[in-house]
Amino acid sequence: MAGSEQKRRLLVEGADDKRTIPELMEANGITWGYPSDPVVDIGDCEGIENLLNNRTLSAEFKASGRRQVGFIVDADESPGD
Amino acid sequence: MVFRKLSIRGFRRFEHFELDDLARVNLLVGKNGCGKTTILEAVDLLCGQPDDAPLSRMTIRRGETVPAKGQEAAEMPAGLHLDIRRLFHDDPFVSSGSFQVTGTRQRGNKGRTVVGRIFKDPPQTANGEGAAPRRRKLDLTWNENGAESTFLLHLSTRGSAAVAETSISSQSDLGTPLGWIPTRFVEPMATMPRQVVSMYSNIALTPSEDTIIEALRIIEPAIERIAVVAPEDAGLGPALRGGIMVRCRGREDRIPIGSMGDGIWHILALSLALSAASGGVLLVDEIDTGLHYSVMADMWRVMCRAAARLNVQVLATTHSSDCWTALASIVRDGDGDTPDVAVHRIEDGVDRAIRFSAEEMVAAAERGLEVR
Repeated sequence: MAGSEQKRRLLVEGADDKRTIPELMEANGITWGYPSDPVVDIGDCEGIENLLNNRTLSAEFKASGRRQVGFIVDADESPGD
Repeated sequence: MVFRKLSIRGFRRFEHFELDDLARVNLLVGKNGCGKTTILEAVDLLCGQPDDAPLSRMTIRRGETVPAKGQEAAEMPAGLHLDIRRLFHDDPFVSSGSFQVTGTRQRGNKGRTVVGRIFKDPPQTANGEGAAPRRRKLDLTWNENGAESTFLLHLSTRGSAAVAETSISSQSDLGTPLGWIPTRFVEPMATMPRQVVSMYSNIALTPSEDTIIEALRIIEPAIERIAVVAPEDAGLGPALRGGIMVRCRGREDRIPIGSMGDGIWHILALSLALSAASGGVLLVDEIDTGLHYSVMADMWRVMCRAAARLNVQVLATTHSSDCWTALASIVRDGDGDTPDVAVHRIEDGVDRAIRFSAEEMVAAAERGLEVR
């Protein structure tokens, strides 16, 4: 189902990243905000293939109200793989 | 396909706006007042009819009429007076503004254009005391492939036009007159019985009738056939939905269509308008109104199939999340034959629509993104 507008979106590879990143941000002095209005909306892409999929990325960029999109990709594989 | 791209200049709220990569079925989304209906009106005008029908439709629907009294009554013939100045982004009485709508049929093609401008008659040479005041006119000129048609409306000093006072002329460099593109503009729930009866009369006992029945069965699978009945025979008089009767499997009596709920009326109006727009354009304002979310995907499935078969390009507006996600679902669930569909978001102050392809719609729906 369609969701609400999120101005800031951070795409990550998996559920572990989604759980860890808010902790790291809080530990570094960034207030997370209320659950209904977080400082950034983290999207779990369920794998690097989905994260780097053209359709996923273009849909994320074009989503209503979107102003910023970030990505976190594990440096555990060579980019060519 | 009728149009690949639309360009609108100086029309209503748009100083300049473009809609690229139009598909066969296009869903326009965006916040209230962003200009979705204005785009439908621009296409309605561009496709054109050699009369005031598109102009009357759009101004009357918006209530842009002026009372036929005072100055207007003195200057104009009796009847309906349309407030023409509202069609222009810049007041044409102050800035000599004009509007232009261009539809490109294929890449590199100059396409079809309609230009609206207001001018004054040239001064009369034998003027003097008692000379008639120079009146303004609205000039609408369509042009495509060297063929041209012009439609003139005489205006009052305040900018209203009486629909009775019109004239039209055509010319063509190539000897082929400008063609008019079959167009239907519908608000399904506001479609009147006489329009439905008229459209149904045109397709009765033709293959298109089967498409209508198939569409109606989305809502009520027991429907076997429908028929137009003279209102006096049906004892319905001027009833809101008089004149159409339905026969259902397992029922001996014929059922007035009004007894079957809003969804049936909606689908009937929509599918009849689609058939009537064969080879042209169907414009639908608020396509989802009156439909339960559970039938939305079936509605799109029938619309897409019929639009392809009848070679109709569809532009529809919605505010509903269920409506666009249902369109995405028929792409996702398609059996390898992706329907030619797109969503275009219109944003205030942005001069180009944001387009979601069929695949991007699916990605957005699956990821819970908002496209509206």
